[in-house]
Formats: sequence, structure tokens, C-alpha cells
Amino acid sequence: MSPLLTITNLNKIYHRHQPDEVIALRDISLKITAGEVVALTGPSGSGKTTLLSLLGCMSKPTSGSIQLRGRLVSKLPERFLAQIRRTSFGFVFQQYNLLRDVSVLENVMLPLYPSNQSFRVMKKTAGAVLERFELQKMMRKKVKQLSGGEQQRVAIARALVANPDIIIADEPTAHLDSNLSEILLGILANLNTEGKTIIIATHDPAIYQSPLIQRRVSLRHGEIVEDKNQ
Amino acid sequence: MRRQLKILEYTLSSLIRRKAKNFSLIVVYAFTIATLGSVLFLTHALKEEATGSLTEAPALTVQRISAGRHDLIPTHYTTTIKHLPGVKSVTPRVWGYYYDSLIKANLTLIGSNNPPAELLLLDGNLPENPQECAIGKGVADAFGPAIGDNLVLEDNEQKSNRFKITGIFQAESSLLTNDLVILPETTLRTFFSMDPEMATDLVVEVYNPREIKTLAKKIKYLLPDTRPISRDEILHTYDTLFNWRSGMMLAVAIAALISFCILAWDKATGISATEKQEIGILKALGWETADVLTAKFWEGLVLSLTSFLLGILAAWIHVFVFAAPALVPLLKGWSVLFPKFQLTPAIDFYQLFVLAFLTIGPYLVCTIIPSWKTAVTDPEQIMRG
Repeated sequence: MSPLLTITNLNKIYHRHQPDEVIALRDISLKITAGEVVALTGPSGSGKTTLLSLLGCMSKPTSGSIQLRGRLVSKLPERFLAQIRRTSFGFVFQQYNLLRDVSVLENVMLPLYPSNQSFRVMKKTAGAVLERFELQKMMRKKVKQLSGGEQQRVAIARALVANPDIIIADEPTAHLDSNLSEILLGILANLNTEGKTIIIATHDPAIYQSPLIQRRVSLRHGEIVEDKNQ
Repeated sequence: MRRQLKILEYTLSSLIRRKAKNFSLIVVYAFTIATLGSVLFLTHALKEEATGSLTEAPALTVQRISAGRHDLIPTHYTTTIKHLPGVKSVTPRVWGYYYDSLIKANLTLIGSNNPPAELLLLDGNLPENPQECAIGKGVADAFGPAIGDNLVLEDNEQKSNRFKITGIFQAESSLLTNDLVILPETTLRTFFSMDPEMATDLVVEVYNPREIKTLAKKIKYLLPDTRPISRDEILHTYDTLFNWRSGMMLAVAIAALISFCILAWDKATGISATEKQEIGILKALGWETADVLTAKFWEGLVLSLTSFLLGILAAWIHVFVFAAPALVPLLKGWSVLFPKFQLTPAIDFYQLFVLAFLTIGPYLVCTIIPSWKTAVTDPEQIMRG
């Protein structure tokens, strides 16, 4: 099976050639196939979030390459990267990154604004995703009026609204209790059975030791120290 | 197109979301525009008023100058001027200013043999008997009388003279007719204690307007104590006077504009952490830099255009409904001694365009540049802060 994502000799250096230079990733090579559920683990500052950002085309590597379905994307202009982020990736951020003063419906519709869908279709699509996560009754509520668990579900709904192939989640259980974490794992498992590839950065054992995770990639000081199937 | 409309929809929703901040910005912006707009409206309306009133004014007016000041002119000068080739007619005029201490305003008293063209707008009749008068709209408003009532004026011996009002000018507005009181010429001569052989000035009509300058030179040559004034010279004086006054006012208003620009720049360059975060989220979710900038452009345009239109509307109401109480003492100068009068709305669209260009343009630039600086950064970096 040809890999969905291939990264080769990837390096990421922040503030390059400056006194506060930080080497976030060193010579990372990794292949992820379609339908895989991969956990990126490691302590804080090990480079998990940076690697997720690079995989999700949210930043460019200092050196090395990233291929998506065999196509080199790491050197594409920003305009194309935006298009790839919109169509291929669904992001669930650690802090949810929802617009707090905006309604649930509008938050979920955000990835659809630059699409060619009409406003009516956008609302219908977002409504359907919200229904799936039992959020339809609160679609008019502002995000700041929701609980942490509800916000997490809105963030997942937003990640799925454009029907992407790859879900990228950064510490998705960081602000959830154990019950909500289990519900989240159930949601992710369902998404995987639908064929979605899931990449999760986590240091929560409840996540990376769960049966959902098929492969665990451990990072330390910006390097892969372990890559094993579970 | 659909994409643009959706982004516009998102922008409007963002504006409503930050309504307190945007409302305060609109208030400051609109106030600045209202100040500048009021100056422009008032100056232009006054100039139009003056120019309009003078279109029917005599082509040439001859005054007598004595020791450098305006003096009464002997009526026999008419004979000398009449003999000049190209002169159609010469008419002596009797008129003068009258200060009324009750309404604290200057009135212009004119002999009814020399009515100005605006008399066409008279409601009622011109005075025919010695104790009758016709008055301007401003005089009527100041004293409150109607046709048939009496107007009381004190002559130079402090003796009260009663004049029955036979007509009121219904001029829409006019700098010249507003403060007028028309009296029979003989009555006015008596009122001013004026010698029958003298007049205030002479009105000269010519056959060919292109000869006015030459005729003025000839009159000056033949009658060295006179000062011939052409209509063009009066128009030019009005123009210069109002331009100078509006220039002074604009210099003050520019300070307001600069303050506003500083505020706009501060607002725009100081893009808040929340706004940065929002741009980062939008970019991460697949918005292109152009989409973000389009949203910011619409946001700036909606804000600045709304403020501009509100400011212009406020300026219009201030000048043409309330007669510019905040600016009139500065712009009309000595004419504050006139009775109050209503200006006819007159707008110079070129000036409005320049004002729009100088305020909306810089605001849009101030809004877009910092957003652009944020939007071209990697979404990951923006969200990390």
C-alpha cells in the first residue's frame, strides 16, 4: 500500500541563526498509510506539535520534504497549502481554537467559507455534522457558553465538516476528564472505521495505550526514538 | 462572486461581534468627517449664495472715496459717466446700514427706486407711501412681524419712525435680501438726513460687458475721487474671503483629521491578540491570505463608509437644518451682524470625493497592512503567539 504521508529527513529550526535558535525537529523520516491511527508521544518540548503542524501543512520545514499522496507539498506556495489544509486535513487543536464569541454553527462552518458551496449548502452540511455529535440543539449558542466537553465536540465537528481524509489532533484529551476522554476515543474509533487516517499527539497513556492506536511514534528532543506497531 | 459574498457575510458578523469597539470607532470617525464636512458645506453654500445673489448685481458700481473711505457721491456725476461711449444707463442708489440694538444685527436699508433683482421673490407689495416698507425674511424672523404690522426704526436723532410692512421677501435664502429693509427713496433720504444732491453710489449698466474694465479706467480718469467696482471684483472678493476663512477652519479641522489618523493607525497597527488568533485559526482551517485580506478590506470599508456617510449626514443637518451654529461665527465673520438666515443646500461633489479619498483610503491601508503582516505568517506561528 502506497503511503498517504511521507516525510523524509525533516528538520525544523525556529529563529534560525539567532541567539534564541531552537532545533525543534532533527532528521525525521516517517511514512503513514491511509487508515492508520498513529499516536505521536513524548514529553513536552519533544516536537510533537511541531511535527503535527508540518504534517498538516501549517508551517514549512527548514529542510527535508513532505509528500501527500506522492505529491511534494513542502515547497508549495501558501495558496495551495491553504487549499490542501481545507480539503485534506481536519484539525483538532489542544486549546480547541474556536472563536469564543461566535455561534457553534458559524464556528463549524468556518472551513467552508472559502469553498464554492452556497451559504445554504454550508449551513446544511454543518447542521448534519452537528447532528452527528448531538450538538444541533446548541448550534445558535456562542462557544463561550459551552462546557469543555461540548467545546471539544464542536472542535471535532469543525474538523470533519469539509470531509477530510486525515484528522490531526493535538493533545485532544488535555482538558477532558476520563469519561469525556473515553467518549472522544469512541468518536475517533468511529471515524477510523469510516476510513479516516488519524494522527494524534498525546502524552496521555489512556490514549496511546488504547486499542484504537495502531502505531506509536515516540519523540525526544526532536528525534524519533521509537516507532512501533501496537 | 459567491465566495466574496460569503466572506462579506462573515465580515458583517465579525463587525457585529465587536460592536462596542466598532461603535466607538464609528463615533470618532464620523465626528471628524462631520467637522470637516461642515466646513466644506458651509463655505461652499456661502460662496454659492454670494455668487448667486451677485449674478443679477450691476455690472459696474461707482463709489466715491474721500480720504480713503467710502463717502456719498454727488448725483451730477451721472451726467459725466452717461456721456461715455458704451454706457447704457447710470442710476444713483440710496442705501445704508442700520444697526439695531434690539436684535443686535445690521440691516441694509435701500431706497425703493433701486430694488435688487431678488425683489421678484417679494410676497406682498413694494412700499408706495412714505411710511411703508418691505422687509427681508431674516428681518421678519428677527422682529416677528407680518404684513400689515409696523417696523420701528430709530433715525440719527434717536426718534422712532414707524413703517407699515407691505411686503416680505420670500427668498429661499440670500445673503443680500435676508437683511433688507426697502423704504421709499425720499423717506430713506430723510431717515439718513441725506442731501437730495447726493447718493450712496451709482449703478452703471453697459452695452458690452467686455468693455467694463475700459469704462472703469475712463471713469477713474475723469472722476479721480471715485472707485469703480465691477461685479467680477466683488465675486472675486467673496471667493477670496470664504476661501481664506474656510482655509483657516480647515487648518483647525486638519488637526482633528491627524488625531483621527493617529487613532486609526494605533488601532490598526495594534492588532489585538484575539484578532491575531482569529487570523491564525482561519488560516489553519484553509483560508487563503487573500481571503483574510478580503475580509479585512470589507471590514474596513464597511466601517469607514458607514462613518463617512454618517459624518456627511451629520454635517448636512448641522449646516442646512441648524444653520451651522458651531461654525458660523468663524466662517461668516462680520456677517454675524446679519439677521439669522437659512442656507440653501449646495454641495461640491469634488470636495466630497477628496474628503472620502483622504479618510477612507488611509483607514483601509491602516487596517489591511497589519492584517497582511499577520496573514502571511505560518498559521502555526500565529497561533503559538
